[in-house]
Amino acid sequence: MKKNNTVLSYDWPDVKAVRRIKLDFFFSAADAMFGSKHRFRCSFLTDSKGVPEGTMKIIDEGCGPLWRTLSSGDGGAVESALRERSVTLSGGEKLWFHPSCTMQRSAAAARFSRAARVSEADAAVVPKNFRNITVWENCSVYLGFGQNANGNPDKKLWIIKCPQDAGKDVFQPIAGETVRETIKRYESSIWPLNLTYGLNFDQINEASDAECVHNGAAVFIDRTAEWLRGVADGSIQHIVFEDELISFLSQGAGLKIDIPKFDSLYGLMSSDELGNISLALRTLSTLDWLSCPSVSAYLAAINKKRWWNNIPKSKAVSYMLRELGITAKSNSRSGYTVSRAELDAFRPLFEHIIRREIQDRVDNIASRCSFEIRPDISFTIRTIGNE
Amino acid sequence: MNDERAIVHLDKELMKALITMCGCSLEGYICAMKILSSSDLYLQDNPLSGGSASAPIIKWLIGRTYHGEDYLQRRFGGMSPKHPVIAMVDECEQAAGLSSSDEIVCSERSFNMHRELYEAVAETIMKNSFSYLKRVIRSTWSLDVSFDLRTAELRFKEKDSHD
Repeated sequence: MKKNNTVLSYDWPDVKAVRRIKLDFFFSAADAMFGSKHRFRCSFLTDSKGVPEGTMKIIDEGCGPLWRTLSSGDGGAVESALRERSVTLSGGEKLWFHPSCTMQRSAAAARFSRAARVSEADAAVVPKNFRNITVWENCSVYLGFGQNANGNPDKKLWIIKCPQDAGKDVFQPIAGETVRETIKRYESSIWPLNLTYGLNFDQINEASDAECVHNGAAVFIDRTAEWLRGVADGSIQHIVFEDELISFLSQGAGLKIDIPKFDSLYGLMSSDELGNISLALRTLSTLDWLSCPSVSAYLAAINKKRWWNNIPKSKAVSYMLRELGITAKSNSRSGYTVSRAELDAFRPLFEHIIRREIQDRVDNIASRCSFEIRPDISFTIRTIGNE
Repeated sequence: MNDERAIVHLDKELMKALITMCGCSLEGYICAMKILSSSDLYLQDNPLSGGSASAPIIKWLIGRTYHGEDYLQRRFGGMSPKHPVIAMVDECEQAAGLSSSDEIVCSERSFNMHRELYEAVAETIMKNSFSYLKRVIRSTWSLDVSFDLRTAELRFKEKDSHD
């Protein structure tokens, strides 16, 4: 591990950081993992009160811009930076859910596909908790060997949060020096008197040979906001806030295909104008088409020969067509199987569709007669097999 | 006309029955034509003349299974050319031609005089159409639809009158 006077700058980008930092005073059991090969244990030499359980990231020149924004403590700047990464949903996107999301994944299944890995996703769904950040502008990190529970040597980090109000006598370790050397420099002045957080002398003794590897800012991210690390490190490129996804889905749920929408879409899909058909397909893809797949597939298949080679460039449309089984080879003449649940939920719509068919036939008959026909007709609909 | 035959009153229900018979089979069609040829609708002076109020209905009914001369000959080949049915079909064909089309063009006078028969025509056409629609819906949606056509109110088209 190379060091310079600001410490570990080139090794830290891979840091998965200090995980599961305990809120106990002077904890010693938290894991820290650096890179893929090195495991460290992490301890605080000072009171860890107020340090969130989650991720610690040392801020140095190797950090990306979002880490720097996070370390600024400027909530507005953080929000603005995250907004730049957020995408506007249209439906059909491939989503990856961060484990800290609490929403039911299945709630989105109707409108979105799931990605197993964030690298395969169009966007990562994350909780909107980006304010769960704690910034230590001045902290010192020591790296060395302690003892594990079995009394064997164990790589450890020791972290000291330095008081910010100590003026020019601020506790200021120098990179490369050991804990013992640091204490020696301060023992006749402010150490430990000006450290209002108290000290764990057992840990200091254990850490006495550890070297200071960082002296400066560090960001602690609450475990519930660890997705921020993925965004800041670049493994998450695009995000969707969980509440916005829920809002989108609830909007979709409200946009059921009803009779006016069916008539409008039917008219557009039957049009000779590709622009109208494209508009209809895009509109349909924004509705709750999966709750009535038969009607949706019926609508989407209208004029298929005409528009198939001009499918709107929309992930939502592509996803909808794929889910509805509309392919280059699919044939609407093979029909649709309306389920009992679909019929029950959309009975007025099916009645409307049949009434349209009836009226079409009555009009067709009347067009060949010298009289108008006003039939008094009723009908009942059942799914086949539910006699 | 054979004045010795019993004259049958062609009302709405009989008209519906005749239309159904026409669509059943050759025998049904011939039977329907025999009944028609002995009906009060047909047994009047010049029933197929241009001014006859009966002509549109008679022509339409005869045309229910009209599929061309060869077909008709094949159907009626065994019957005497002097048979009233053949005579009626011939007469109808010579007067106005026959068509298998559902088109039924009539005057307002004919419509008012035989409204019930036109209702029978309209209702029967619709029932046949709905029977087909039932099959379409079944194959398209896998749904079973039961239609109940109670009545069909007719109104003569004033502007597009074919008078």
